[in-house]
Amino acid sequence: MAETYDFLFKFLVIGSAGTGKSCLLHQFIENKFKQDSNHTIGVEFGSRVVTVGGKTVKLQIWDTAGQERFRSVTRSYYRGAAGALLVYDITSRETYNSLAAWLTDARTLASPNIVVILCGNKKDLDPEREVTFLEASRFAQENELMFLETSALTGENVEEAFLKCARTILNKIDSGELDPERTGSGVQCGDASLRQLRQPRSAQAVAPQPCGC
Amino acid sequence: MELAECAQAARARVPRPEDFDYAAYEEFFSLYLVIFTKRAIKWAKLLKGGGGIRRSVTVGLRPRWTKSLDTTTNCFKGESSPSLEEAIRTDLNRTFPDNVRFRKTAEPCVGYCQGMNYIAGYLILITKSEEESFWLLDALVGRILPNYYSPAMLGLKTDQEVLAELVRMKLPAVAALMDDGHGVLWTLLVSGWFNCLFMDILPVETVLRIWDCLFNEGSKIIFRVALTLIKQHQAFILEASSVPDICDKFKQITKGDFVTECHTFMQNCKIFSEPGSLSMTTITRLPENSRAALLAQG
Repeated sequence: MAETYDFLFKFLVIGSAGTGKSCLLHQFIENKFKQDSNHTIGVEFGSRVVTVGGKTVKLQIWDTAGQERFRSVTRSYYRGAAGALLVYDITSRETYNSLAAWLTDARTLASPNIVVILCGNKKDLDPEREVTFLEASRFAQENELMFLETSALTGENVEEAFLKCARTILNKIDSGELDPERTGSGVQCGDASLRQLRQPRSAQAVAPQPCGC
Repeated sequence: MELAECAQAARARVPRPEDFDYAAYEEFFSLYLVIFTKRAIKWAKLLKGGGGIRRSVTVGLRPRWTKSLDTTTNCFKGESSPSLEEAIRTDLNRTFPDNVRFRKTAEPCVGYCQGMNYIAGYLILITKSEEESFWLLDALVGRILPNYYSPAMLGLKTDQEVLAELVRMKLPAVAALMDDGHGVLWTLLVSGWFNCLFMDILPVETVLRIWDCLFNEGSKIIFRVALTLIKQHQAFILEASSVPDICDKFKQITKGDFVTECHTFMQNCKIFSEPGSLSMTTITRLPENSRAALLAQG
């Protein structure tokens, strides 16, 4: 059965090793916590169709390996991503400290306009917290990121993180800030939206063009 | 008797999923144990004579992979660093998480790259000796697969390019599908194959047969296995119409009877003749070109 959707967004999940990137993805797609999770080698991905603001959007999510030396491999997949979940572990300052490097990678390699949501994962491990909510939200503000604390274990805010990111991209499309037909936008139009987008254009083409003479 | 026990024990460690097909499993092993025992006798003879031929090494003899090693290779300079330890610790609970033996096991500490944990882990399961595992890992990292696990992973990247080149030569239709606007796809599809040496990708018994060859004749076997998998499923792969599709197909071709029947997979000339001739000149010449191209990319 062919899936119908208005848009397809390419998403990335990035961040240091062991922050729970694959578990976030698993929770979002399967609605449960991945108990025995392997570390990711290279890149994996999953997809899910969601409804946001009355539009059907297929999220194609690329889950990347977090270990430093895999970065040279995973970087190749950043190109043309519309959105990203930038993940750190609230119980590990080290993963928080490397956020800036990940963000630079995303903005240089994917697109300067990539919509990024910062996710402080493992919210359920609050007693072991090393990074405060306030500190991270300040970082998010300074770097123009959205921010949520999530728990791949309980599922808290996981759905919200993906949807928030998707909603922001849709808003950008609506406002004309993001042109879905530009290559590398990270957005592809499904059948339905293609019709919507093309109609006004063909109408324009029929209208008499001002003549130079 | 000892062999059968070893084999059973090695397998008994993985808890069975609910849908595990016990009947098929029994059927497979009742046939395979016969082959297994014959191989054991052959290998015992070969190793006594110091010969260096491949075929299958049985579980009982696999600890003697070490025989193929140089006696003393370079020792690791004992630099310990907190970040290295942290990286290893992160993966400790994520190495064969479903295998009871691994719930609390540490791995030998060398410069650490994800993927090595799987290899080291399985070496320990097989050899039951940390020291032997260490030297086998040392042989892999230092001699058999140079630069696979180094920070730049240039060896692994080069070999992926080599595989891409071999596919271009031998299976041009598949190569055309990949090159069709998806320039970076090969890493996505096969980095797990190279990085984990098929561990956790192909069935365990098949992996062990591949490793037998790997330790005895070197890395060429990885290309042969990869090419055999791709060639066997060429028509299936060519049905793919998108990147996710291709990825999914490459996952599926590592499952099923074709790879489970390890003896047929290895023995029935599939591995050794199916991909066509794979001369060492080709294999050694290609990396030079690929490496140059990779270095040029930066």
